[in-house]
Amino acid sequence: MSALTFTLRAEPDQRLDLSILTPSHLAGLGEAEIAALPIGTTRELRTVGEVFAVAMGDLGEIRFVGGSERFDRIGEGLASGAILVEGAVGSRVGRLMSGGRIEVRGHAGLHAGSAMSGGFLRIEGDAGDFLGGPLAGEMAGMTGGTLHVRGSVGKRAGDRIRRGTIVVGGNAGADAGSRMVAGTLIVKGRAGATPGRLMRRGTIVAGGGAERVGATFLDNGVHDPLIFRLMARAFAAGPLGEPVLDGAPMRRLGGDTAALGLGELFVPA
Amino acid sequence: MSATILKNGRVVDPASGRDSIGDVAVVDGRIAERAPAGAEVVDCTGLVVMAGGIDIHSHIAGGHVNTARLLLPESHRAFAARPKATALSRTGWTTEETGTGYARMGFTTVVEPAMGPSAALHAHLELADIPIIDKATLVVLGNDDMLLSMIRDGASAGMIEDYVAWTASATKALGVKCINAGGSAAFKDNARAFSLDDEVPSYGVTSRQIVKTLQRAVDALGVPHPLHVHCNNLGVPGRSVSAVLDTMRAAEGVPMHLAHIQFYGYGAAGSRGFSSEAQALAEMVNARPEITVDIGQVMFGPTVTVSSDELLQFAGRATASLKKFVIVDGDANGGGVVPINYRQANFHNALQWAIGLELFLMIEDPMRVFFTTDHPNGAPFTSYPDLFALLMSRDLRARWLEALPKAVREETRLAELTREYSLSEIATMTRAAPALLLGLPERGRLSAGAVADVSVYRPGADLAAMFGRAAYVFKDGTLVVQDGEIVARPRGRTLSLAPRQDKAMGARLDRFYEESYGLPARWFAVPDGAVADGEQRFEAVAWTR
Amino acid sequence: MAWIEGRAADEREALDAAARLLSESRLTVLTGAAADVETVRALLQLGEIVGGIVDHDGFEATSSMLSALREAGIMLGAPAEMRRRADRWLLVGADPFAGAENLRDWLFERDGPDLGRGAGRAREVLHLGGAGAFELAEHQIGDGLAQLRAGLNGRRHRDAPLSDARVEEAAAFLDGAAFGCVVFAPSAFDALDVELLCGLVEDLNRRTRFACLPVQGGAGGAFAAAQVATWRTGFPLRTAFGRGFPEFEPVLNAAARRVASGEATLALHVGGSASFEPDWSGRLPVIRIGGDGDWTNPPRIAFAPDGAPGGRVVWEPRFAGFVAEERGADGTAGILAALAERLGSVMA
Repeated sequence: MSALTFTLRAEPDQRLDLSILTPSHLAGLGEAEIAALPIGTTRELRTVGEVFAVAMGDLGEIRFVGGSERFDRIGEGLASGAILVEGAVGSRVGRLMSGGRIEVRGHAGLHAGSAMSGGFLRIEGDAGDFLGGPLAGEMAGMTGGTLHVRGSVGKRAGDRIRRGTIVVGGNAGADAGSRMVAGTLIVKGRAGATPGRLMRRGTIVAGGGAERVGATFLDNGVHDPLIFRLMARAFAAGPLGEPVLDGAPMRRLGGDTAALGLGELFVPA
Repeated sequence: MSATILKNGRVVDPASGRDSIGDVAVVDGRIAERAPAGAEVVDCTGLVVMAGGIDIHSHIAGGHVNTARLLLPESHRAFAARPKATALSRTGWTTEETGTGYARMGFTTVVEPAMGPSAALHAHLELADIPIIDKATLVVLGNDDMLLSMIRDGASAGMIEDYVAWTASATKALGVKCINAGGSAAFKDNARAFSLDDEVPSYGVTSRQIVKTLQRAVDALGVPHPLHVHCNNLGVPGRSVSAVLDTMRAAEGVPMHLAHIQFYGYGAAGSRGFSSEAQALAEMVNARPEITVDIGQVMFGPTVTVSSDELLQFAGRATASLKKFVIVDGDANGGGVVPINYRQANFHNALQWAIGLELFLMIEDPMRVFFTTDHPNGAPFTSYPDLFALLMSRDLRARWLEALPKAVREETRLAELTREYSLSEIATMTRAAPALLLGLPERGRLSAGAVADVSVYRPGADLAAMFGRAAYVFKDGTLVVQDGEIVARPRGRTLSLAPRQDKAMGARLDRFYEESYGLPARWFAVPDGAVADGEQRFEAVAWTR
Repeated sequence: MAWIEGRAADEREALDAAARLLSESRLTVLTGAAADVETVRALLQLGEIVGGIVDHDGFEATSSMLSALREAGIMLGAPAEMRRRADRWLLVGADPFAGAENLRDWLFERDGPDLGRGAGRAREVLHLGGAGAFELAEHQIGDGLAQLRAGLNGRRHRDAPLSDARVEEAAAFLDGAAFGCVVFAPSAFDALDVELLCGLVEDLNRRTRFACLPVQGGAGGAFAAAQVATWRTGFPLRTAFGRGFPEFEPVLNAAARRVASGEATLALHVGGSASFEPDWSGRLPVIRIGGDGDWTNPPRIAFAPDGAPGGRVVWEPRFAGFVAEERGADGTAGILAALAERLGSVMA
């Protein structure tokens, strides 16, 4: 059976809350019922049917043909199944997802993978600020799963994450890995200023170095590349399906001693 | 003229000794002997008719409450993928939700018990935005430089009374409260523990002296509500129970109200160093007729503690459920906001829950024990219906007890307490008694002439459902709730003591605030007209007990 | 006075026209420099009725502190209490009192504290990021604070931008306070800086007493508006009402962002004395109420309300709270209420 498919009719005139278009919310609904679901966020109601042409199909695979920077909250709370977006998405894609797989063939906005606890989220383009991080006031960002952005990301990627792995293919903005509690953030490109601010534990790798490292990160010397070769292998074997690190030796900086100070930041040796 | 007759309900009105099937007539916002011909008839057959409920201690407005909202935006439904209905998320946070939430349960008057003089205007601005219900505040004294200095310098009783009267009038309060008297001032001087006979470092004045001074002043002035006391050492096993017992003894025959005593019912016995002292507390309350108390019941779930007890809130941050908190070193006061999650499986929390119920059941006179959760400190006010049900059903209590850790069941006497509150006792505790305690003779009763705040409940096996969604609620004679839904949202009033300000004290305070703080004294007052719609928001209450 | 497309109009006619625009707009952003309680209440009420987004020109200046408060917490001191009690002051940033010089003069009017265990001591000030021994470039202040916090907790740090000796000196200074006060302007820092600073103050309170004194400066109006919005909606502005309940999004709900993206179809701007023309004013129809001076892009409809009789309630920095002023109501709230009343019948 083919995927349940939502084909964008035209650029929407407002931000859309698409959190309802996940398997658990749609289970048992017929085409007419799905088409009538409200997804607008202004006082002018927009329904699924007004914005998308719906082609019924297997709930386990949901496909968006066409994307928009105004598509918010896609795959929020996803527990299983797959969501594919052929285009861009707005904020909070994959927020609170606990399982399954989301793939975005375009750019993503703020808070992609916010506080996700499991599953796999891949963004082919760039992602905005607060990748994997908590919303205002929340005490934990990502707590599990794997988040892969092929492009570059905004500031404070991996903010307050507690577990799980984030891999960024391009560059990261300022304050990557801010307030990390644990978990892993790998930036293949260059990190902006002061990665790891207020991190307590966890690992940040800045493959292309960092614009500036904070005064409360201390040089622990050049690190054995073996661990990076092992990590590279683990990534290739895991959900990411490709090696991430080239196994070159790196310099380890411990910090942030302004916080607990048990985190580590790796930059090229 | 508007007139309504509630026909054929079971009228439970302990204030006039009534518990019988009958009618209640409402004419022009007041209860009347009889309704004129043509009055609208509301059939209350099979329903229970009571006066509107009165909550004497609920943190619903003011700087610290708003800080709690700022601290916890993530409690809102908009943040969750599939909103979990916790008591806190159901309560909502806004002034609007506060008014409508209370009204749905049939509560029509609520007292915000912790208004610092410097935050009085803020508190009244918020109160003015709470719809439907009537409100009142207690002004907090006992950590302020003016009072502590006067006590140190041996000021006359008359002088202190003038100061208390000026402050209560200026802040449009209904009564006076002290919160860990001297504790915030001591904490500012870096004290980390503070008991009734400890001295506030820079003054050489003990907490006991402050409490006694305020109690005497409130009594002499004839403030209807006795001094409302939040004791020292809240929540500290062992020391808390000593604090509350010592404070009760210090009442010495003069009326005194002790707030949320559940948080003081803690001994330090047992392998965990935490035990129930409910019996000792209840015996003391039962033996001393000048004492009234409210409980501050804990119910399970995440909530937030909002308190002007700065010293204890600072200590309490260590056990916060979230690693965030706000502490405020205010002028003449202080406070703190600390998130907490009372968990059923946690020995400490479960025993707190049991201690509250033990107190409710062991204190004999429903005229002297008041129904509170110290909202939101013990639980949000939306948990009241469940709590009513627990008080009225020992079977329900037994079921809850079974879910608790075994060690708690061994520590608490709750299982052997067979008492079940009657509807009349519930009405006493939430209507007749609070009206008397606060000096509001036209409320909490259904006799002719009373304010027509009336709540009508549909009895059923599910007691929580009965109290959670009133069948009808009338505010000043206007139908505001029907079948648990809001049908009208009139603006309520704020009840405050009639103005009573000594000119000489006014001049002295002008000088004091100017010279000490560099601020005009009028900033510590709520001027007429500053709150939307001005005077019509306020209803004056007489200074007579 | 009122204008419709630049033409002087009867106020009632302008109200009708503005109500029509509001009722036809899909997404209205309501923003500006509302600073008194009545105006903010009226703006929020109108925002709820039209299902718009309510923001404030000064939101960004106050957001770092609100963000740190809700994510890490803060220990705050009332200015009047700090004035009487604090013997040691840590000023953070090049000019923490920018736009609030009166506050500085008032705080430091006397030579030292007269209340508490520091009474009689002379006031001492350490200025991190100001001229003198602890001078730092703007981008180094976060690092300096981090060094200080690490040093206070006996953890290692690098010896730049502050030397180890300077860090030790500052730590000893802070630890020796009877009551210390940390002053900063939230507008000069990001949320992580403020969070770090709040953590520093919490750490200092393990041994002695310390509190933060954030100086809102020109953002006082936004802070006041955030307070009112919080009690009425649960959130400090940047809140959308399109779906009938408040939704907070501190980034996406910026009025400027919604205008730039083309989503907003109408803006309503209320101006206080600090009003300025938003850089998006030419991009969509605007209803402008109050404010000084003419805009480059004339608003579709403008109101210059006659000063209303009576007073107003504003946020007072020395008091860190609301105070009533006997005069100063400018009539903006009345215009907003009149619009709400008209829309109540149009949109009910």
